[in-house]
Amino acid sequence: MSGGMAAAAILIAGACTFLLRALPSLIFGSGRKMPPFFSYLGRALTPAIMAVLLVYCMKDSFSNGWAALLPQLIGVAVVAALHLWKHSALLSIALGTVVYMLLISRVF
Amino acid sequence: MVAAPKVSRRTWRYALILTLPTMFSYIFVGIAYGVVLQQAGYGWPWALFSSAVIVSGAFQFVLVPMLTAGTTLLTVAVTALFVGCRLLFYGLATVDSFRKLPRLRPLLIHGLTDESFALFTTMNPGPGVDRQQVMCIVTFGNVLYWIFGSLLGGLIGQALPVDLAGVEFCMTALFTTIVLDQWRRRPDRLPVAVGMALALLFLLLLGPEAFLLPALAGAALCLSLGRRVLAKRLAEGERE
Repeated sequence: MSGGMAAAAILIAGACTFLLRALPSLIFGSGRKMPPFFSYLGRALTPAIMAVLLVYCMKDSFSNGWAALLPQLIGVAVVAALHLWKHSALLSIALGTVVYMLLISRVF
Repeated sequence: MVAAPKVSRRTWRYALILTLPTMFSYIFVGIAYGVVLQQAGYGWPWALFSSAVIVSGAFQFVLVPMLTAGTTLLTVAVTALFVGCRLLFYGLATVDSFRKLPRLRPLLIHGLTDESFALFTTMNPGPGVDRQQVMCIVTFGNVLYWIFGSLLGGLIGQALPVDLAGVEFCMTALFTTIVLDQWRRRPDRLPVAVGMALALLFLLLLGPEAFLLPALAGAALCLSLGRRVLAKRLAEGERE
């Protein structure tokens, strides 16, 4: 992407994100509640979207064969095991990333 | 703090101690983001710019491969709206507090993140501590930590002579921890499963370039149709 397009993408993403943050106070104001359908959807959709994004992170390795997919899956397993064991997101992310980097440079 | 009333030392102290955990995590994840962005060909000015304009870690990580792949602006916008839909709540819950500071309000709204909101809902300020002022300091502090971390990451990525191939995995790792945390909350399991299944299905059907929007839209549709069942479960889960 050219610099101009990248800047446009960042500005548009920023505008959309700001809109979501500002919208409730602009429309619903103080004291009033969001319509139940929206509050339900915002609540229920978030975990589903995070799962979609996890797949999005790994999207390219699915089409690039086992040599690309296997280190990703091992990395995810390491992160998950650490996270279940120590409950520290920072530790799981840091160690998992180091393991993945070692795997792709030394093993695969 | 331009038009803001004087902030007592006790308030400063309370607010800054409150942000210590987010200081660590924002600077750490910010550095990771800055490094990933730099490795993708967008150096520290881009890290600074995007972190100041978007202020949303999860989405900014997703945006990096979109920038390198030249994804259309429409896809970027729709994805930003989907990923940010949870922010609707934070805005609503802070309306009254932010209203008291009209001049700073747009900035406070702009800087409202998951972590700031979590701190608001769990904080318990004692006597002599101004709640509204604490919320402002927490919001601005967190934004500054995030921007600072991103900038640092961009500079580190540029300065480090070692090969950083694979560093982008920290984004996969971040989402792995987020999804795991959600899986541990029982009522969230069904949405997680729906999202995962649809993403894999559309990835197989449409390939890596085209699956994201159908998967997001499909998840929204499925969860809308399943509202009767799921709304009850979520409400029960919240009470526990």
